[in-house]
Amino acid sequence: MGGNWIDAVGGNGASPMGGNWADSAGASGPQVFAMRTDHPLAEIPVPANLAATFRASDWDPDLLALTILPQFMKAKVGTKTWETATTLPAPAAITQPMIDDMLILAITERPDALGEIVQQNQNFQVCWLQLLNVGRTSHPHTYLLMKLIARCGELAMMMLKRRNPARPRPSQVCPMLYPPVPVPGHASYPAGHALIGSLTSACLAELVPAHAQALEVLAARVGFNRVLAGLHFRQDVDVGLDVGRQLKPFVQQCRLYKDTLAAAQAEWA
Amino acid sequence: MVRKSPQSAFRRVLWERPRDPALIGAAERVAAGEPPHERLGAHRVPEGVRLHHPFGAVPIGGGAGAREIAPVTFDLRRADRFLVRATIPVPASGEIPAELDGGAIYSDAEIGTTLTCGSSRAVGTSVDVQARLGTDVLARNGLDGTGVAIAIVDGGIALARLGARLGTPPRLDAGQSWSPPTRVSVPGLHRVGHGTMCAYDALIAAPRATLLDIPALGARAAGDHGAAGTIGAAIQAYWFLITRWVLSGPPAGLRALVVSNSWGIYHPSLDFPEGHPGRYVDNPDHPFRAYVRALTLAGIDVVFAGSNCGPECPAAPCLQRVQGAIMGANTYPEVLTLAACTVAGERLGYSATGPSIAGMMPRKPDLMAYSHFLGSQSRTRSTPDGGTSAACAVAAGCVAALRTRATPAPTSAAAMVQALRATALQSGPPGWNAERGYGILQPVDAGRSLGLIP
Repeated sequence: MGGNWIDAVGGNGASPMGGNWADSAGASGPQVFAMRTDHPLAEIPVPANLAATFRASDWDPDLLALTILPQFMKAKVGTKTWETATTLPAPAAITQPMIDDMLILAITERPDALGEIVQQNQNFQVCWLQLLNVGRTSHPHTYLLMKLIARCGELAMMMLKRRNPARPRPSQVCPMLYPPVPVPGHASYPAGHALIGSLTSACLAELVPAHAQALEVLAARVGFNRVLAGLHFRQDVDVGLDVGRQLKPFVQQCRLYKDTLAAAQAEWA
Repeated sequence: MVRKSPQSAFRRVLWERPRDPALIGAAERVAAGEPPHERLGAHRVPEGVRLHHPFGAVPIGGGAGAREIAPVTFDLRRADRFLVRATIPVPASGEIPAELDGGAIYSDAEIGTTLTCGSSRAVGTSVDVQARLGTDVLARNGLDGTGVAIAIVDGGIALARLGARLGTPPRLDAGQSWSPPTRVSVPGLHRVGHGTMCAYDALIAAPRATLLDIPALGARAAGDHGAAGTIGAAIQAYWFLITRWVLSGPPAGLRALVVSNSWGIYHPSLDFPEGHPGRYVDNPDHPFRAYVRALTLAGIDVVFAGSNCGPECPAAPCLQRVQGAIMGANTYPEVLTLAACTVAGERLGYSATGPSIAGMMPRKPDLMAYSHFLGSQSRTRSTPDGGTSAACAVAAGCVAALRTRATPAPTSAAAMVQALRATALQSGPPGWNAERGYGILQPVDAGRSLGLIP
């Protein structure tokens, strides 16, 4: 859901490494080839390009985006870092009316939203690409910008969730909510989809002002779909959306973000 | 400087505001069916409050608790107060303020179609319903709905499907219909579904009535993903009807209106907490009632489904809450509230029993009407028209048939309710009972009591 989201043509899906590696219980692991005795390409006489370089466009945007994190952690607005500036309201006490509300939503609203819930469970940034009608090929810097935003949002989300590490998922309170997708492996408060979504929308609104309202609505929609799915309380999403918007000025302080934004603006000129 | 989160959550509410030019301008746009965004943008609100611009503003009339209903107070040029829809911050305690910036806060509770439980087969068809109602007798006496409008407050009507089922397309007045600002499809061209079922069932007794398409249940705002319809959308729709029928008299060619409401609130958890003065489910002073009263005092009949939280087979969103299951507007004394029975006269298990939720008129439902018959086929070819939804629409059609000649001048809405109660078919001790109300609706007998049938 964070910086390692992939669309159909980009990302690191073929070569998982870094933070998103999986062990054998979770995925098939790296590919292993049998020993080969032939090497036909080596026999073809093509002159080597001794001046070859690794092109800027060859960088995996997913992994490159990790390099913004030290800048993001040090970024200050006034005298505060994002971490000291962000105060989370206390999570509201869980009550039976809150659970009843979610049960009714699950019955009445989830059927219509199910397609989006499943689609947005992972790689929900694809919705933003779809809304802006862009992709890694057509708008590579915009794409990288979204990766940077997602990495910052992902880090902030996990650090903020650790402030209330025992906050349960709604389905742990009431299993009858029966989420249609796996319950994520982190606590409920604040909502990560909402936080990263609203941060993404707030940043992209600067790049594509004409889409500002649609971007804001998309973030709210993706966030609320997680309530319909039984994965979050309403408050998780409300606060996630709010915090995501608050993080924008800190992301804007990062040099890598500024440079990428300038390049992305040229794509929209 | 970054703003810290000052609150834990937000709440969608209806909010009373004093008259100002921005609100008048927004209400003008709503009345004209135009987007009110720009006008409402000039209305100033406290920091942290977000107005729902597509909602615009609606005159509130005398307001909550007003004993006298003066139609002129719903005139946007003379109204002193307006309702807007807003999202307000709510503190971590979850306590919703009773007022904000001097204006009362009311619940904008989510409403929906009255879903049913189970999947049992239909009992009889619409032909059986016609026979039980005596529609041939009604028609012979000129009681067929000619000149009467039936407003279907629901999810929208698919006129083509109605035409296919009925053989000829029914009358629908698109000009007198209403669409939420956020709805793209136009009157008569909505997706086939619950609204089409209700329209079909209303035409059983009043085949020559004119349909008005009022899809308030499809009023989902662009950024509002948890509620297809809310009581605020119903208020918008009712105010529209007031402007067309009360403030300026009946539209040309129409002399009476029946408003059919096959919807309700599923559960109190969707409302404000118990005891809040702006709560909806058990509050006779919620502002929606003023709009209902303005219509009924003008001789317009308002018919509501009871609830499908019946004790034997409650619909899933009832969460097994079957006592006091008839709530909100469905319990108002001014409206006719329906329970559901089969064409054999047996109460259906999903039809909620009385009394209503504490604090509201206890003796609901008023009557039973036929339901669970094969009719519109708006879902599948074998799915019955069911629930108190179908019963409500059938009853609305019966009232419309009687209104063909029983004009509001001599027969008020209250007199119509009284006549229907007094002539209902009872099967036990006289008077009201919790399961069947005053009995099964008998439009021919009601017509006789009103002097419409010899």
